[in-house]
Amino acid sequence: VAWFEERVNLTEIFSFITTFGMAYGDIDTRRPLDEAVEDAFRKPHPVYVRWPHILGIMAFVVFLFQGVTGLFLSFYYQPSPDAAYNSFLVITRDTHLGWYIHQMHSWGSHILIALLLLRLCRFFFHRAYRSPRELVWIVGVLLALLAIYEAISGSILPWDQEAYWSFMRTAEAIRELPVFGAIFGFLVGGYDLGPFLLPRFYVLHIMAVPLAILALFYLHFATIRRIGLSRGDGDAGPEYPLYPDHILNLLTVLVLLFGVILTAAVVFPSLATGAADPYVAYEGVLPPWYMLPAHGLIEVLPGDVAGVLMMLSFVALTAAPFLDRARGEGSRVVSGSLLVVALGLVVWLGYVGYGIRG
Amino acid sequence: MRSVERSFLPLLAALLATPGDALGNAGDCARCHSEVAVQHRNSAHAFEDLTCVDCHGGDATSTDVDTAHRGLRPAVPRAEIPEFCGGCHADPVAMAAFGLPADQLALYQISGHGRALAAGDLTAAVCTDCHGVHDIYGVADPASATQARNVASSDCGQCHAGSGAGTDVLGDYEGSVHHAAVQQGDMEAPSCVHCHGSHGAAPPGIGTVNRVCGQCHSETREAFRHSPHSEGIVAAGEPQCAACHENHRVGPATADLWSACTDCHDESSDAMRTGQKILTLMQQTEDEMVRARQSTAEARAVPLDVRDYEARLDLAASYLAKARPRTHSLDPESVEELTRKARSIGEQVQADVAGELYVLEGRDLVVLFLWLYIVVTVAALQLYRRSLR
Repeated sequence: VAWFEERVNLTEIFSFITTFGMAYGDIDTRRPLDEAVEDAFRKPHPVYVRWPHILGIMAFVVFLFQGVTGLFLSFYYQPSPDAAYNSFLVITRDTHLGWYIHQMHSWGSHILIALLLLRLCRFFFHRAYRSPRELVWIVGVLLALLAIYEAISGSILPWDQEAYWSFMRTAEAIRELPVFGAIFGFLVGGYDLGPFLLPRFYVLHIMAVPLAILALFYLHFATIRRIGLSRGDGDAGPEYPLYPDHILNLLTVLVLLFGVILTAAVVFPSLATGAADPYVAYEGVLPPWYMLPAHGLIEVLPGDVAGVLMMLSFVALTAAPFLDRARGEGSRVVSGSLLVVALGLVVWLGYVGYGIRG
Repeated sequence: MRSVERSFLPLLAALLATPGDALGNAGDCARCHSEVAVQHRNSAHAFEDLTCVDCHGGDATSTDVDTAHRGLRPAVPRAEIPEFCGGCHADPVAMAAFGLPADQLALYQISGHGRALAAGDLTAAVCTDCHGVHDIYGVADPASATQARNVASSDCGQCHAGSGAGTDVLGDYEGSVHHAAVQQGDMEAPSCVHCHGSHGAAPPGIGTVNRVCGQCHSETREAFRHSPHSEGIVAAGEPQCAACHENHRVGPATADLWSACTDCHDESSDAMRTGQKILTLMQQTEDEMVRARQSTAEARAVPLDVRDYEARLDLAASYLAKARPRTHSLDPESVEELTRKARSIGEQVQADVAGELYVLEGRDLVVLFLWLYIVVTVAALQLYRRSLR
């Protein structure tokens, strides 16, 4: 370390790394690494490490995990309709532990979305979007949307029957959206899934969108460094140092989280359903769970009305910090009731959407 | 203005000329006989430049009724239609250019239809009843009544349909596997003409049914000819294959067909015991194949590499496919020679797949151990955290 320290400003690198979470405070890059680390470790933190305040950092770690597993998958994957399914078979059938990497990547995507959505619910309930945290909220909404897009674009890649027809169901709902529908239609390139769909979605899936997500995470952490951590409403609470409390608790939670991903990957694996065939419908196929409420809405209302309604909901959701004009700390009764009603509606629509299975 | 007229007048002339042109090569005949001209326009005859005048005489270039109809042949009497069409279609030189046979008239004359007509029965089918008059299409044209999909309903079925038992030939045929295959696009599957002939149409005799069916079902015929049924059925006055399978309403060859055995054989007879033995062999093998296919489908979804299993099952399926016609030999040993091979492949594939799936179940066990490790790690982390505080 000393040898490097004479030649490289390691503290600057440490400072850069901690920009993506962990140490929420400035790091003096003029000081040697050990002192800077010790300083950062001693810094007292609020009890945010405890449930449910850890959803953000968990989501970030799962995102990194998706990056690593995705990298391994990209070694073998071939994004063309002729080769995609075979390369998927090579990964999941012929490559040592390939099935395992694929299943973890697949389950990781569901868990990432679940974590980001839960985090939004948490923000909403605690009204953690109020000034000066508007950006944290907006970034949170965008992150959830991008994670959903990542999951959708990733789910089509195996190019098997379930992937193909599930994607068709997903596309049905997204096409109804006023602006996003047109953009999505442009990305898909029409109503048929043509031969260039896979390379297009693949490049977005592994490069453009992950970079955007990383940039949003960076923006989120940079915001936190500026405005500090949310301490909840009048919740002073005891403060603990970053190490050992924060880091060891975080490690504990992450070990449990990976236990969950791993178990889901082994016990509930997705099955190969044969190469995609546009001329043979795959019966009983559903869109992914996060698209079910949207499908429920287009079942209940005419498509374009449902599309406009969904779009308005997104806009209202993103603009929540500016719509909530209640002064002072206010009560969690209103935000809690709103949340329960909204979640009830979403669950009901999801149930209606589930009904399309027939 | 003059230039406008110059450009306008040819256009007007072109517009006026359009109806005649649109009606093909009927020339000025179309001016009065437009309905017929429309029928003729897309026909195979029009495609080969045959005009109204070639069959009817007259002058197609004149719009004067008298001139146009000068030399017009009268309508061909029904009894003379075959000879009239044969004027060209029985001429080998004329037909050679079109790759058409020239023996249709000769065949027609020896057919049931031709002989009935010669005997003065004017209800007997003539060329135009099946081929149409002016709207004659090639046999492969989907619009043609003689096309394989249409021939039963549009041609033969016009006369050979009825409501009484055994007389509704069309209805019986439409309930057959042959008709279903034709409608699904299998042009090799038989319509009426495959068994009865087209121009030389005649019903096969009792002793010749196996030859007709054997044109496609050659292995079945081979087995049948060496079976006790070969002579026994004819001796009993039954029409060979059709005795069990029906003639027009040929159903799927399932196990239900074996109930037909009791029509001739006593339930406790040796013949029935032999039949039951063959039936059991076939059913056991088919069930084994279904189970083997299910197990490979299960393995394919994992996904496991099932290409080898599928290749082996394809081989087993070919043994089973060979065994099916061999059941007509009524020789259980000969059938078992094939079903034994198919069944043993099916059993072996199931055992191999089950072995591979059993190994995979070990993954769940690994997860159990992993959770032990996770619990220990979590406990260690928390204990370490407390010790540091």
